[in-house]
Amino acid sequence: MKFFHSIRWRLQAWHSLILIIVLIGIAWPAWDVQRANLESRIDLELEQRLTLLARFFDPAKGHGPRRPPPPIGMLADESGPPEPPPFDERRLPPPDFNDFELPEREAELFKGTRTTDFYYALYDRDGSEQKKSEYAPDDLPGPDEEREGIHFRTRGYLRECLLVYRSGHSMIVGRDTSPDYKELKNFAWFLTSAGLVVLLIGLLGGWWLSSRAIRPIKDISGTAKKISKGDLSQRIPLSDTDSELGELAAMLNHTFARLQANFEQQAQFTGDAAHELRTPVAVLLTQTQTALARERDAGEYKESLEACERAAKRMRSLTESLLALARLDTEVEKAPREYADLARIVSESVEQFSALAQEKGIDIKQELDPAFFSCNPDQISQVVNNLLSNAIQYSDAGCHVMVSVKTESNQAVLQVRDNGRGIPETDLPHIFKRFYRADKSRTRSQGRVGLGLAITETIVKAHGGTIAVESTVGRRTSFTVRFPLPEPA
Amino acid sequence: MRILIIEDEEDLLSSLMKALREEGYAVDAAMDGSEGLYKAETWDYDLILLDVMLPEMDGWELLDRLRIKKKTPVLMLTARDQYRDRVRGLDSGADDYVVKPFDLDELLARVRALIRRSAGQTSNIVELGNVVLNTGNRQVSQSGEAVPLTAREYSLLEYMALHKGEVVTRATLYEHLFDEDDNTLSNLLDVHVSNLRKKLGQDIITTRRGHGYLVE
Repeated sequence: MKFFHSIRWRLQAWHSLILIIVLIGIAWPAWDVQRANLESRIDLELEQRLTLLARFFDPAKGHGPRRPPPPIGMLADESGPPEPPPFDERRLPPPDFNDFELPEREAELFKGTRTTDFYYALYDRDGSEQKKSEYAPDDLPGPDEEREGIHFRTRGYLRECLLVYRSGHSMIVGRDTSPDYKELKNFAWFLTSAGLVVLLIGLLGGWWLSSRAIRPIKDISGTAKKISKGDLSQRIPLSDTDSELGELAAMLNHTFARLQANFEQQAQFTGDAAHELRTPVAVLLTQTQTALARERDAGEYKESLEACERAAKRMRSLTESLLALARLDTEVEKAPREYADLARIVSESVEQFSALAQEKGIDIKQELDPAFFSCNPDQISQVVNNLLSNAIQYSDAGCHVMVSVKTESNQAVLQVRDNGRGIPETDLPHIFKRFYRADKSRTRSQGRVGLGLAITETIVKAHGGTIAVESTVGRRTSFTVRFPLPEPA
Repeated sequence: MRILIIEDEEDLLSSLMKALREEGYAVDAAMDGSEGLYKAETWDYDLILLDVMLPEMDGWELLDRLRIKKKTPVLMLTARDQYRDRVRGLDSGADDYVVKPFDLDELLARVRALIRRSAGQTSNIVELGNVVLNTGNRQVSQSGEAVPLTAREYSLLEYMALHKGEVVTRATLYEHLFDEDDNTLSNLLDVHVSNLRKKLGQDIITTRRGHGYLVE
């Protein structure tokens, strides 16, 4: 049954069916036309012979009519399709066949033993045989019609033409048509074999064509199988990108590439996460194992527990950040957007940080122009908070932080500048990378994990924007975020 | 035995120091690569515990530079567990490689093994005449009977035992038995030597005047 599910076999089956129908549709009528032509030709010949015969019969003396014989050729009537006998036998007196004699030339037409030869027979009004040609069949039955006129009958391969006179006399001309039918049969065989050959060629050609068409599908399913086994780097080999299958393959390749990128990103992510978690876990393990190694006093236990708490808090902030990042990776595009003012989001953020800034002796200044754009306000808030928090974190007392929002050409531009510690040149290209911390030892102890800027960049990009940084160590740092604004209506 | 720990994670460092000191080792610490390299090159440690991810100079670089001058056994600590990293570590000159988080017991056993190995000993048991020293459980027995020793006394005896047959100078002993945080009066070597002689007999340690001490 698997046979019938294969596209290629189905194509072949339909193809052969159609071809067979077409071939039969051509061959059958061709043969039929031949047969019809053959039969009418035979009948025409018989009639003509009959006519010929009847000419030599003069009704007055019992023979043919005296009317001049119509200009008929020996075998064929040049004037076209067969016509009824040129004389009207109803005007004739009944024939008498006794003196019937054919002239030699005409007698020739009825001579011979070849089965293609004609024969004749003449009958009296009572149906008894009066005269017969030399080679007429012995068992020729008499007339089986009494009506006047010309009648045809077929006995096996013998086709006979019967002329019945008003007087009741009748005349038969007949012929063995088996050779003709044999030729017809040969013609039929010829048509059949030619048809079969054409069918065979058609099938082979069709097979070859459908193989070629199916091959890209095999390529595709082969590659898909390898991919499903785990090798995501496989791609469908493309040679013809314009055909329908070529387009399909190109699209699938694109999908596979995205799948692979996704998997790699996930693997990278889980690798990074595990790595970052290892150290606080090591702290927990070593602290507790050391504490449990022997009897300790309360003070020592307290110290140990405090160290464990610090490690646990680090793990907490790490897992929170990781979850946020994971969620962001999958959902950043789906967060609902509304039309909001960037300036308002920024001013709310600044307010949140004002207390902390004041504590640290840092002054925050803002220059905000309204800038409405389509965004998810919570996510944008996160971005602003992150940039502000970094600015404050890396500045010392007496420094300034300047936040500005303005519109330039068709972009909303957010800038956060500070004159704090700055970022070393070697770190600048990496600061947006996940888990990257420029000042490793110090910041780690404060629970910072290195994901803030990575999250910020992801959000900015999802909104179609860009983020850039400039910094001089010990002097200043400046982050510039640009969001595209909708075209003015 | 004196150990140097180079690790920037403070809570981890403090508990490691505590654990090792309680095991009887003298322990020095460094929280970044350059401080660690300086100490490692300046003093003779019996073992260095080295974290791979250090600020400023990473563990690989430190190891490369250290190996130019010193053959101190190095046990690398790291959160990186890819076999590539292990291979790199071992090929760079580390003597062992432990992945964080680790069990303390395992770390301590590896420390003991490395120290034993670098002293040329293959077994935990060292015999000095009728005195048997078990470096695994830090037990000393004489003629089958256990002899209790203080941590200092044991450390001294252990160091001498692992250098059995060699004359060890007082300076060396000072360097290997006391760390930078030691400022108690128990620095006095002579006190420990005489205590050992009291507990295990005069022959346990031989004095070579002008050179040092010897056990055999």
